[in-house]
Amino acid sequence: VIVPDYVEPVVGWRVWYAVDGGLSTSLTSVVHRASWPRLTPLVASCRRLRTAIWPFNRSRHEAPADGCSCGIYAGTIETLRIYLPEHFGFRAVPVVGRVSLWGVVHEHELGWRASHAYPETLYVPTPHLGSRADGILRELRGYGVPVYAVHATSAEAVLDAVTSRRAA
Amino acid sequence: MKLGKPKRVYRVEPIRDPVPRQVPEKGEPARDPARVPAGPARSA
Repeated sequence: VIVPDYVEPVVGWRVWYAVDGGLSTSLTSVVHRASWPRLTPLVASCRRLRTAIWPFNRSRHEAPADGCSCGIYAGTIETLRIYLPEHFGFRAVPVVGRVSLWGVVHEHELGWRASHAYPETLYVPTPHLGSRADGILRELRGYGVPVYAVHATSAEAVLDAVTSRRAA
Repeated sequence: MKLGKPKRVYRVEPIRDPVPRQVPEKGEPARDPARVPAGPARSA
């Protein structure tokens, strides 16, 4: 029996895109475009095994692993800036949020890589969405976590608004 | 996401499931989980 180091999830920050999949709007990761399921944890797997040009020198391993970049990422709120566009357009729907991480967690200087994750709170910048805003917010509430509209139109303003709301 | 240098690895097993069992009713308060250390890791 291995006794856990913590009995509450680590909570970090990340950015998703809300993507209209036809039947529903889902969260997807910004870098790897992984789709985050509703009411089910996202479980990490190592994608380097699938994309390697010369795969024979790669060993199959659980994610996250030492010496690999695999795992589900989250960082401090200060790390999010570069993943948000300067100004939001009509097509991309970035979502900022807090995410619970658990299982095997690798702590880094600015964040974490984890084996299991699920959104904890979602903040959706809405001014650029126009009439689509209500529908997207309603769809994202299907994740069963708090979803808040953020009335800001630039990356800096969104992060300021989210930080202020957390501090309130 | 640039996370910087690795620091340490730990095992996290939440007592409460971080995944909602169902969509909360409108107006239900948000959870605010905090990290609670369970003491030093050990194996038995």
